[in-house]
Amino acid sequence: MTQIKKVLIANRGEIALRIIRACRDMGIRTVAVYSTADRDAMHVKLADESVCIGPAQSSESYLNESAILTAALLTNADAIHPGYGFLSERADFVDKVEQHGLIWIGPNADMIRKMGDKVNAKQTAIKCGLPVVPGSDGAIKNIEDALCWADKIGYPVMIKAASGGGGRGMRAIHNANELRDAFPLVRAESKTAFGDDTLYMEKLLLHPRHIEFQVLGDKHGNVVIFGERDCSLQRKNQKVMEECPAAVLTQKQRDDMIEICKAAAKKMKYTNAGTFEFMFEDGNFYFLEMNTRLQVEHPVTELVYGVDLVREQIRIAAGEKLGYTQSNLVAHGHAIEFRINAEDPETFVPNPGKITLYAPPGGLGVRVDSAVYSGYTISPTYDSMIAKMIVHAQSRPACIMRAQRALDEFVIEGIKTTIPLQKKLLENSDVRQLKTDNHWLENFLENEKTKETAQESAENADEK
Amino acid sequence: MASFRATVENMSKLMDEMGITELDLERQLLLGLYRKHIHLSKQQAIATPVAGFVKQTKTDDKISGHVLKSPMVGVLYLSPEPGAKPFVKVGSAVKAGDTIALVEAMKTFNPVKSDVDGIVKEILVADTAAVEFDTPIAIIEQVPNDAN
Repeated sequence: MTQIKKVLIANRGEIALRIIRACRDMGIRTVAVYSTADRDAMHVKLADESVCIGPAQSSESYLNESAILTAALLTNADAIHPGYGFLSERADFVDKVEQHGLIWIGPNADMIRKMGDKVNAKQTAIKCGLPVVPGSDGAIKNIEDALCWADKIGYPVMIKAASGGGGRGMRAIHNANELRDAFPLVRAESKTAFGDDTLYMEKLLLHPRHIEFQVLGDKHGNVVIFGERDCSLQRKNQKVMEECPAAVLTQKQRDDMIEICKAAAKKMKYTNAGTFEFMFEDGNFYFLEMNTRLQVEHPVTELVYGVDLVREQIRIAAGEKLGYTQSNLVAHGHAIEFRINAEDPETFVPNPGKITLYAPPGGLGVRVDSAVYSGYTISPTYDSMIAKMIVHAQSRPACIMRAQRALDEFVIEGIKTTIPLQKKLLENSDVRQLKTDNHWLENFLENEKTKETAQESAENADEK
Repeated sequence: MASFRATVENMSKLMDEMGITELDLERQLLLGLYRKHIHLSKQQAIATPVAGFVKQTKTDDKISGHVLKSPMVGVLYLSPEPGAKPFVKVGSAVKAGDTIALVEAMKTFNPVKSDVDGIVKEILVADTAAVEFDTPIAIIEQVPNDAN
């Protein structure tokens, strides 16, 4: 077992603060790194030492591997915590960190290579017994082959061009007749668009929810799985609100999935923190991807399970044993996280600028992870998420009540934030009754826009 | 207890003499039933960070002349190799493109080149000091380009 006495945090913003706090709680010294745009940032103020590693643009500072390693070596840090984003899932960087005798606080490079890449990850997931979206094993040769696969998978299905991507070269198919018509068309389109007419087929999920399971594994083969987070409220693949547990699951569905995830994590010899992400539809789970790092929404798990996940990451990296088993993990109540972005709550245009007043909410069951303060100027260079408000209560309805109270208390002046959107979502009956899925928020926002335009034109008509 | 107090006082004195800033003292009392763990720590006279990063000593408004800043985080060398003549001294005339110092990062040596013509007015960083990105290294007084 190695002792970690000083940690360099290769990140900024709220997550850098989150890690500094965990280190301080453990009596570990901290080194902050920062770009010239972040001279006045909170993580620089709160760390024991700080090193300016480059100019504002991330590629020259927070993604500058050499500068970060040099800073770690010159400050005699023992370990590097990458947070999320930036260098957190760069396997080559993990190799370099270890070559320099430093400890990486996260899964090892091989695991990141294996699970960080989507295609690799699906193969590994299948091998480790995780349920995946059913599909044709490889290319579909002809229409007979296609019909055969569709029968096997079950309609609706999606035919996809192997060379396509980003939403192009795919079509939803609802029955055999549609497939007969569409197959030659998609094939021809694919040939023209991508110079390759290889097609494959996957089951089409119409209303999936995003449900994910938190993994912790030590270097001695011990693994635990924390109960799930429901992150179905998303806009452009960005999570907006996350909760723990997923109230749509039955206890049996939860327990079964924990067992499946535990077996998979054990089989892949997973170490440190990670997350298995799934789509959940009609009682079935389908593996989406794995995040080989700490996640933004980790605090909801912390509040429900009474665990400090960053502390666990550091302990695991130092070679300590978990010291508890699956049966020791007990969920208490319900937690919801709200991401507060410096964005217009209707158009989502980023709104950087000076925060003239910052007064976060408080009281029982309210936690705010943020790195901003009154007088702080939000730089346009980085992510627009400026705060996470996490609320905990004994039940989901109580949690919603408390969240509404806390959002009402939250004052951020000088810039626009997404707080009004979060308030609106909590009043919505679909959100309250969990009648949502991964597409719900985008549809909701679309409807809101239409409503507004209609209202405006009605008002204009009145004036005339 | 009196003897224990004396020990701590002696240690404290010893630390001052030897310039030690931190000392862990462990002592078992009463047949090992209690364990006193005493951590003596003294403020270092010079407030340098552990690795000795050069923090800006002068505020920008106190500096007159062109400031040459470090292009990266690393260890600064004022001469091409240990013991060799420094690249420049105070009073040296430099041309844009002349090497003023080297910054070592990940075992590579990167030249810090002057971006102006002028006279070296002040060197702000000591040889082998750790520098951050943008740490001021030298002040160069620009010479008006009358000759051309």
